[in-house]
Amino acid sequence: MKYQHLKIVLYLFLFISLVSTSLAQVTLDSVAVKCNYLYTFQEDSTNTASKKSEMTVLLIGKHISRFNTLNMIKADSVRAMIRKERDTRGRDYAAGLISSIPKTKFHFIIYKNHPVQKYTVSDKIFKDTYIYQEEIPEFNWSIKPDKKTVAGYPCQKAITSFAGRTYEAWFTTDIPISDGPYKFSGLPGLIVAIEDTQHFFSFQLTSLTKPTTQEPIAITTEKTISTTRKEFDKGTQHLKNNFFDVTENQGIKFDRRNTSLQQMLEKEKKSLNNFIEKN
Amino acid sequence: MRGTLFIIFCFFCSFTQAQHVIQGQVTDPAGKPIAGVSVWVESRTSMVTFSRSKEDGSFQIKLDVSLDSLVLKAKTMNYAEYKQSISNQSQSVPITLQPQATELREVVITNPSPVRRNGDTLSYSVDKFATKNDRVVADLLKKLPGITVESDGRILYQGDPIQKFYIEGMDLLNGQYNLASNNLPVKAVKDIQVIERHQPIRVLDSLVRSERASLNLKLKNGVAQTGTAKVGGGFNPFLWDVNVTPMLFTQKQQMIVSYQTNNTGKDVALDLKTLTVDDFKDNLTSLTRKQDLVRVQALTNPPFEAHRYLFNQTHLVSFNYLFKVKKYTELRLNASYLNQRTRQNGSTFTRFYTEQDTIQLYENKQNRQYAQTFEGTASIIHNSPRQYLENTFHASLTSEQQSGAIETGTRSINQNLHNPYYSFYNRFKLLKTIGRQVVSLHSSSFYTKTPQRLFVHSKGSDSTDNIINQQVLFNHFHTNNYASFSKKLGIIDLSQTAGFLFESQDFQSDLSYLNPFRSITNDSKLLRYKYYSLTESNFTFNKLTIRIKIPVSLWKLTLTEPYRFIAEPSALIKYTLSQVTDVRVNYSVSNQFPNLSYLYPNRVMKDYRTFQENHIDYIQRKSQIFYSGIFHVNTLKAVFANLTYSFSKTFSNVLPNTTLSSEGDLITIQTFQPNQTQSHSINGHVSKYILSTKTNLSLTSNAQMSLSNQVVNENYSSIRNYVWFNTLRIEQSFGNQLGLTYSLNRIDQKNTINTLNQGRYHSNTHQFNSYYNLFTNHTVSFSGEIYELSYSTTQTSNSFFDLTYRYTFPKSKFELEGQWNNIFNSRSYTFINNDTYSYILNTYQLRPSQFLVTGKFSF
Repeated sequence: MKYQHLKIVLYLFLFISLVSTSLAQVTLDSVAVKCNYLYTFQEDSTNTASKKSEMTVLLIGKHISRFNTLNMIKADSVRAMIRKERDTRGRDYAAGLISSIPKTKFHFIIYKNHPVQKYTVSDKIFKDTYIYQEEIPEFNWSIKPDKKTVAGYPCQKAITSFAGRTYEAWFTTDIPISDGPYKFSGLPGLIVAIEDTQHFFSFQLTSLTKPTTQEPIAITTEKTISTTRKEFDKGTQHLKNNFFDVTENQGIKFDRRNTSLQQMLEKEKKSLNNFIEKN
Repeated sequence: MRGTLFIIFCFFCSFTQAQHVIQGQVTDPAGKPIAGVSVWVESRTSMVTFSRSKEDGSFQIKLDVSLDSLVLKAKTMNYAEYKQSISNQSQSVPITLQPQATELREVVITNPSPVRRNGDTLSYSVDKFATKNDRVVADLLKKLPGITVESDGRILYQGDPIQKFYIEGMDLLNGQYNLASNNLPVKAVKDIQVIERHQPIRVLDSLVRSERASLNLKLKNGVAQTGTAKVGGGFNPFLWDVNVTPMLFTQKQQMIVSYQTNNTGKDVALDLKTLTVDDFKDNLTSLTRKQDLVRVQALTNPPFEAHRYLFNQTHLVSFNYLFKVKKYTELRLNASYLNQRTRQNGSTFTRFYTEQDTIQLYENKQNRQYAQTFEGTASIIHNSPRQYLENTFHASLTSEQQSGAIETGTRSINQNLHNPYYSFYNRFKLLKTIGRQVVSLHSSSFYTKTPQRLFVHSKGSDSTDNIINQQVLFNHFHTNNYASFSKKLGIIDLSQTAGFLFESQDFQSDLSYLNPFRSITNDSKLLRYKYYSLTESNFTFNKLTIRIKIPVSLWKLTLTEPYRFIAEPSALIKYTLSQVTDVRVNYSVSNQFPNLSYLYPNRVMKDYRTFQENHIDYIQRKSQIFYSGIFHVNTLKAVFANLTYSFSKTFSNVLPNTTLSSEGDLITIQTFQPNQTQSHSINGHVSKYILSTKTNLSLTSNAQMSLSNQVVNENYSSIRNYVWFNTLRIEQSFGNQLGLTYSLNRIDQKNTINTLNQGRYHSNTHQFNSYYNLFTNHTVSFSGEIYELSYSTTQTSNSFFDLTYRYTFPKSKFELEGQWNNIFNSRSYTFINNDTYSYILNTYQLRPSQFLVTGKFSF
């Protein structure tokens, strides 16, 4: 048991120094339960019409869980399909398929490493993938007497605050797994639904299944750059404020005199003001 | 261990008097501790508090003393639930869990999305999303989740441009959908549908997966006629801006007609802009673009938006009609008529230099233009699951007249130009599947006719009259046909194209001088053939990417020339050094063979003081370009830098021999004289974002050196041109209300002719732009440009400011907007441009201060 932990801990620390090795993926665990959550988010706090939603997936293993948007996984499999198509039908065809890669607003993958109480997060800034570690915080869940059935499970209410927002969660001890969508965990059962008190962000369980075949929980070590949360946030800020430079360095040229384009970007920046983690 | 726990226990007891502590250890029947077990206490069947067992199986639960009817429970995966009634007092409870497979009840809930979904089609019900303020479809589209509308009107779904814009399933506008989205009233639309994985070509439906989305507007029942109108007026002088767009939609046919007119400097071309990307590239539009063989001495347009300097009177009529012939067959007609009068006033000061002396020429120019353009496109599209066939015929007819009056101080020149242009093209595309491969067949042909005439009447100060008349006629027929397919062979991606090209050209001209009368004419014909093959291959190994293109062709340039074999290989190598740095190297060879309108043997007057003749059979320009660069992007450190170097060498078989008269007349004779030009360019860019002050700084530097040869007044000379550009740019924002941008461009330039220095030129351009959002609906923006230039002893300074204030009255059905441009009433703008033997100082008259109020409504 302890060796098993050590191995995982080792892996999670090791792959950071393994940047740009040929090793593409490291298997960390295998999937015991697979959950889908509908993630609803409001990008502009002043405009309820800016509510959007995406399907997300939580893969729960024995020690490690992985959380990301469904389209991210789909995109990976479409990319694999494109490589295959290229072999059978040629490059032009494959090139035509590139636009068929599913789109997602979120490129994060959150690994919860329960034995060491750490998150390992991989995320993108423009086209580069970065990876950093964070402590899983003490959620200090406060259990409330309210009960209701959510998605067919008998649930009880719990309240916590996380990254500047207060959340109301519904969890079930029918699924005795202390995990949940996004970075949430620490309750005596699975979180079936969670929403912040301002109704900006919510996750709702839409399916829970057990895999019929062995499915790995893997981490990609290739082409990732290790960093810290602080540095990563700085980079994100930079992209937001410096869109022209970042994209011009990727070979896309803009007419900087085009004030309407600047204004459009400014407007977009303004309407993207609400993030799940405030601090 | 127990000792420690006891101390903790005592600690808590003394700390919080109102709590009891339950502690213990979770083990399996063999006594082995189990970690991560959820342990909780229920009071009256409701959980009150919980804990998880640690690595050694220990747990501890704090309990409020007021609770009763307590049950201690423990549960984890693959063990049976533990349940024990306990009393409310501090106690130690050992828990033993019995192994048992946990039955997880699986659930699957169907999509709870608020928008109706049917397969791949998403329907947004207009009634639910529309508010009183939404007038046209574009207003509504901006609000729909997943849809974004860009400033030029392009519609994006999930961040990607839409592929097709349909109204009731029909593609009436062929990508020019601004006409519909900006003019179709919301009240006529029932649903806006997004077809998520839409493959518009049915042959490819099962073969090629598409994730690109298309948009379809479903209209309300019974809606057949609708439309919108916009009327704007202002001063000074009297300004108008009108747009009336009626529409008709039935089961079998659709029609949108639009009439737009303005004299506010607005360029109506945006409404005719094609916003969708065509899958198959061909350069027919650029090959058939209007070419002027003779011209009125023009003024170069200033480097900013047209509404600041365009003096216009524009009328545009657009007609779009679609008829459904059969289930899979459609006929489409898109036609437009543009009638535009423009005028430009200004002056140029040109300084020519040769080895012997410098010639200066001042010209005050007043130009008038009147152009009428008719464009029509007729398409028949058969799009069935068996094959895709498209044939498009396009005709563009332009009738244009220009007049120009020039005062040089010693001469006054009147120019009259008739420069009509006619072009026709046809494009055929067929797609068929053979096995699992799709083979495509393309055929495109065009015919252009350029019959133009320039009449020049110049009067000298000694009242001598000089009248010159130039007529030219150029006819060009071109056809290009090819088939292509692609395949993967081992690790190489291969694509193969084969085709042939045929051209027939015919050039006639007549240059007549009236006193004394003489005439110079040209009449030449040319037939050209080209057979070609293009092989493209692509390899990727790990961090290395290599792309090679091998186009080979057999050209017959003129009937007397033998067939010549021409290969134009190119290669690109890209290597990733590290995560943040990569290196690119590119090499390419290309050939250009200019057409017959550059090959006439006898003299042609291009404008009143530029003449040309060509003593050659053909022109060949062969270029070799080498490019290399290193790119560094560190997003986290907010540092971006790149350094590139490029070298190009062009061999040409002809060299222009220019004779420059003391009055600034240029006579160029192209003669056979192999020569080469070279240029080196080094470019560097660094930028850094300072997070603490929200300041963005960037610095770009570019140094160029070019070496060329010229013959001016029978002196063969080599010219070296050195240019050094530096740009500094600072962006600063203060919250969302106020933003500032400042940039400084500095250009240093030096020319030498046979090592003789021709003087230095410096220019500094300061540009700034600021905007201020007062309240919602009020925006003020202020921008300006200051030019400082010096050349030899000449120094000028020029400034120009533009202030815009915009207010939108939010009203239902009717929208009102006020706009005030160029408040400081800056009337002219001065800038410099140059070529190898001249610098030109331009002064351009700008639009005066103007105020405009616009109202919009739908019917």
